[in-house]
Amino acid sequence: MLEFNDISKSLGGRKILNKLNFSLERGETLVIVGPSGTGKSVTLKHILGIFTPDEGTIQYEGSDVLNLDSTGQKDYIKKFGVLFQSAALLAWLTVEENIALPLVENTKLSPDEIHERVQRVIKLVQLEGAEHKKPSEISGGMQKRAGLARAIITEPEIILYDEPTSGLDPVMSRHIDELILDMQKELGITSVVVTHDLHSAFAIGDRIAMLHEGAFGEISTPQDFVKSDKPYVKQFIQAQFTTGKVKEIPS
Amino acid sequence: MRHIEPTELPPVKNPVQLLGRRISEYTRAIGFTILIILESFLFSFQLFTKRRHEFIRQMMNCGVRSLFITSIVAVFTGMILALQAGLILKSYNQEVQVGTLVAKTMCREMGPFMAALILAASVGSAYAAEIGTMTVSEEVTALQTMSINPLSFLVTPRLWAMIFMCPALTVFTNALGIIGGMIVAETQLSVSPEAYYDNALQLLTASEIHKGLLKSVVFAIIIVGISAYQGFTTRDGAVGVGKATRKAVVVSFLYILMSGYFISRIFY
Repeated sequence: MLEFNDISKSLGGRKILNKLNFSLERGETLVIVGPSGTGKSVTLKHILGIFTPDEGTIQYEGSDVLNLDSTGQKDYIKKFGVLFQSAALLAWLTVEENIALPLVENTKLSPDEIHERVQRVIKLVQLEGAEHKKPSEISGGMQKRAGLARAIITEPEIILYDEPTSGLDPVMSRHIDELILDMQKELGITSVVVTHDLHSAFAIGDRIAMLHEGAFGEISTPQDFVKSDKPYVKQFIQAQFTTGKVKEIPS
Repeated sequence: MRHIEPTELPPVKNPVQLLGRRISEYTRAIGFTILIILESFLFSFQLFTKRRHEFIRQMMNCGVRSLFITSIVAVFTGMILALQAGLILKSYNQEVQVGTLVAKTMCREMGPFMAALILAASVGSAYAAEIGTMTVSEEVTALQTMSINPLSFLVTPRLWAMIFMCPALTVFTNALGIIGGMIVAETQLSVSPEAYYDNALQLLTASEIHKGLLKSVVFAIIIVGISAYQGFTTRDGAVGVGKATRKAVVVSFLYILMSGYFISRIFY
């Protein structure tokens, strides 16, 4: 469905991505993990076409994404829904207006049809009752759910999640994981998730990829990922589950 | 609008390299600012459709909420002008001419300048801070991923609101400045309001008022272009927003003054 071939990118004189290769299959959930500053968000921005690579090609269903004209770029970006780390809701709009925004701006649907679709996704992400509140009046978890509702309202082919559980308590994080799994089950959406949270990665990922020195140092199923003998993978897993006085992971 | 990618390059110590780096950054900033202005004009037709409410909201922000501070500045500008010029004119027994001097100075230069400087400091800084905050909190990227052009969504309504309200505030500033001068003329220079008024309007031409208004339109475009550029290139969270806001005001002031001089050179 989506293919990265030898993608390299330097920012601020530093090589962030170095011959990154992967392919994404329709319907799967690929989780990208890795320490901060290894290029996870930069990878997402390349998928969206916001960043242009210095080298390499990106193909979406066989066509070259980097050589699209402006109409092609618009059509390409419409295939994606994005849940941002900070939810990125517009502060002066209500939750309902935020969720409806992509439809109001890009479709000719009537206000009634838009309202009906907004209500449907609000129910799906369990945000009933918060429709008329401003983003500043709801909790971080609710903001993420509103961001998720906005990402799925256009029925995209791929959803990109940038740190969907960051800044949330463990209970809310697991709730967001369940929502992501529900999206997969109910809508059959392909997903790319960038996260630090290995709990999340194991819960929702079909494959887990770890960025190391600008490329995927490991890309495998969660079962194989935990068995990886690569030192940086082991170190990353151990750092997540054994900190301070907890030296062993309870089974 | 293509994403403006970060341009942090490796540090240089050589003065020649540093000069080259500064020139290239400066040229890039001017280029992007011009592109932002031109591309924002391309979406002007949306003002009458989906940007109508935002346009009205920005007109309120830009015009109505700046009225109070503009009134105070305008009245005192006229009073200072009348006092300083009046005292000199008085030594030649020509204090009756103070009305002409205040009216001409206000309409040609001070009115457009004062209105633009107030708008740059109050509204332009707010634009840079709003767009800057949206940039660092990924709201601008979110708009792009929703196929919404940030220039059409954020800049076009602000640009047109400023283009309408800057000349409107200039007319208001001119009028209040002339009234301020009249107060000083009567109380300090013993020039009657009738004589002041007759003198003020006798030599003031419509063309001078129009040229002043044309200046204010140019200033409006400069303020929005610079504020938007500073906003879209904001990096590094809250500190970056602060820097962008300060730069938007300082750079706007510089360009308002410089462009004001060159427009005056062309017309007078």
